[in-house]
Amino acid sequence: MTGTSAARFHDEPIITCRKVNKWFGDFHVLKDISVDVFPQEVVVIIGPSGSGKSTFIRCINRLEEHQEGEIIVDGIELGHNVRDIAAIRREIGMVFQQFNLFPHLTVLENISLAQRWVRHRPHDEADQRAMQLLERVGIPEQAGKYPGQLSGGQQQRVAIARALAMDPKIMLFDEPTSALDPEMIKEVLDVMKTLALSGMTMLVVTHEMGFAREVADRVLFFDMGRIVEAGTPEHFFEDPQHERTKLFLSQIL
Amino acid sequence: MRGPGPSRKTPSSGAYATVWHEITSFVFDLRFIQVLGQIAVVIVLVTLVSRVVTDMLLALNQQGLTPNFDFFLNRSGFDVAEAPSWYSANSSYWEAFQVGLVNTLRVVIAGLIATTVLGVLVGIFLLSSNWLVRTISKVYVEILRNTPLLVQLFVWYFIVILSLPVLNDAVTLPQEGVLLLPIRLALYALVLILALRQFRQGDPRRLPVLIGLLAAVAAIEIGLSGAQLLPARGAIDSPAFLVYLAASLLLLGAAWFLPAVIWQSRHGEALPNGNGEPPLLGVGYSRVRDPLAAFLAGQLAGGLIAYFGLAPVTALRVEVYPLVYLSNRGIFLPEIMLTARFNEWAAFAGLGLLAAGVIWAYYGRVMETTGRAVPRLRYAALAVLACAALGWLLVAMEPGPEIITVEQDGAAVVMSLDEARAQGLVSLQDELLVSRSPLIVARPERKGLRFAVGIEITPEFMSLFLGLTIYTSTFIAEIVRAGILAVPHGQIEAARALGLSQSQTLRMVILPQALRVIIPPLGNQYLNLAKNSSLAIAIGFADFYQVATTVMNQSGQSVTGISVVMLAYLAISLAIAGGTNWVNRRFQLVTR
Repeated sequence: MTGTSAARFHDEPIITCRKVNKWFGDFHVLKDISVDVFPQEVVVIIGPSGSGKSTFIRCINRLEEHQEGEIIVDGIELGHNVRDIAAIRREIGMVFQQFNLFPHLTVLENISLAQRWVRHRPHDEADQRAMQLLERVGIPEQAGKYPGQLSGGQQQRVAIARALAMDPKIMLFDEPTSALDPEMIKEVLDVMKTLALSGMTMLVVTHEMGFAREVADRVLFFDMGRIVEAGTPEHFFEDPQHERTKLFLSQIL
Repeated sequence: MRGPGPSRKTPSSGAYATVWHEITSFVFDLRFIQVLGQIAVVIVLVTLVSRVVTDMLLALNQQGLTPNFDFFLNRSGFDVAEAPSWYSANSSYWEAFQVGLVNTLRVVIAGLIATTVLGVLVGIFLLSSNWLVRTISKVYVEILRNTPLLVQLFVWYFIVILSLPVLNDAVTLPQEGVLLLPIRLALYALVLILALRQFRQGDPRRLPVLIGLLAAVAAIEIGLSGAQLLPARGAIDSPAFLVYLAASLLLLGAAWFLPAVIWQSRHGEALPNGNGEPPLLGVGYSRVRDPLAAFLAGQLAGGLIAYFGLAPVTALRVEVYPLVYLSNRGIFLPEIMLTARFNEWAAFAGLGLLAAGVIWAYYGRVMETTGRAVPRLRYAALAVLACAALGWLLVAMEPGPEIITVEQDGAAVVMSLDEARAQGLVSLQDELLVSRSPLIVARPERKGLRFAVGIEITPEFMSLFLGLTIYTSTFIAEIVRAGILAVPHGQIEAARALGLSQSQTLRMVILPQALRVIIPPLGNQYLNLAKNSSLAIAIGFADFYQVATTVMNQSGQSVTGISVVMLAYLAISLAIAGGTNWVNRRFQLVTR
């Protein structure tokens, strides 16, 4: 089932997962997950809660450790080598459900901190890049405020800017709109759409079916730690093959 | 008379009703009732306090003990166990208070610093992923915070410190004598440092290498010392030699294969040995330049050479004098003394500090503008060290007196400085004048039952310091643990996802947020330590409270005495609270 939409993408995959297995104690969270993600592809992952979709994308930048199988990101295999892990994390940006902005730093400092300490950019250049990204996500006027002074939607847009500031090749989104009020969801989704159009490789865990339909190149449906169904959004929403997928779609649509 | 109901209902009753309405609305006004209540409380309090104070003053007057400050300048008439040389029984009560206050401040300041360091370390250890470290710290905290401080002070004083040997048999560190340092040890240290460096670079292949290395060093040391116990160097058929040979070969083999075997069991594939050689005997093997293999091969060769006496066992001869004396009369430490040339050297050192400041600021700006990481702390430290070393050299090169007048057998004799030194005739005072170096470290020097030179730490101070530090550190450890746990895990994940290293995450993300939670309760523990220092009286340390008690007993001025004690502890506490509040304000979060 891997690479169903590979025809559009001529390059080598940028993320390769082969037979990835993970357990939390006795609980088997990920079961033989194999998937390739190609540069510039937008992959949306959906599924019921507890199906392992968040755990899966957290394995890709080693926030969780997988116990079996291999994950290769941009030619580097994720193992126990701290240098490899650091190299992979430099290439991957991540946006969390709870934003996780640093509350003791201003918006600008949140975005420039890692640029300076990880990318070793000069202070001025880091600040400039931060301002540029704040303009791109539409809130340059909030630069001097602290995260606690912003609305949820604004915070999430800052979090996206913070991840983009590292110039990642891949962006992971872990339910980026689940903690937001309905009227703020749109502003975040709009930023993500623009990002997808600009050619960023994205893995998005979300419950926003509209976003999946509109933006995704490929949809993966997770259930009980397995990829049950994978395909283009049209194929997935109009003509689901698997019983579980049909049941899930009937409940949410 | 009508009740104080709302008068609006009876508008017909005229002017009387209006007045009545105004009175009731004033009396039943919440603001008026609050003010009235406060006035009542103040009146009751003032009455009670003034009654107590007048009674007390009357009683004291009848005994001729009216509180006053006049007695402050009277002769104290008592000695303080731990006092500077200017204090004697002829000094005034006021001076006795000063001595006590200085003693309290000494133990409090030393205790605050030590308990912070210890507490933070134990707090971090409580969260260690290492089971042993975590459990030991847990036991430390649970035992020590659940026993009374007074009991702990008694244990430190009577059981630990006072059971140290008497002065004549004092434990000396290091032991006096001659130390022969085998050059082999330096080699071990070098190899260990190299191995540690490689281990830090994060290649898990290095972990078994490190473990193997440590085992090998231990095994060979034990083997060598065993071999040396045997009568003669020797014969190729002696059992010791065969054991040594077998052990060395075994270790060499282990060094070659062990990392590969462990690697294979963990990763299920042969250890990649970099040069594409096929695995040997089914498993991979370490490269020859793997440090452990090379090291052990060297050991084998070196051991054989030493065993057959082909080369002398080279060792550095170091004469050792005791620097620290531990006894039940106290702990005696060497004293650093300034000689006549100190000021000249201090000028050079000051120049170094200035240069360091300039370098720090300059590279700070370079880092800001170019983003290039500059190890400016290292550069600045280097500048200070270089200036200090150069200054030392220049100052020491200045010519000094060649001859000196010393006392020999009761007569003044002029002899050359070197000769006088060799005969041990130059007194410390003379040495301070003629020495070429700006600082000298004076070893503790016995003179009868006391030490004439050296820093003395009394058993009482030591016990109180240890007791306060260790007791308070357990509470601080728990506070630090709670503070770190209070930082949401998402913060750490966000920092990791951005690629910040562990130490960067700790420094820039976790600690600034943890401190916000840590500082207020930490300030409370600081206050506790300061106030608990008055338990000094139990073990006879001459702190402020103990001195004040003596003063009160002798002068009968208990009211003034207690007031002075309260004021002094209040001042110390306010200073500590002010400090923590100031720090606390700097770590508050800005929210909407």
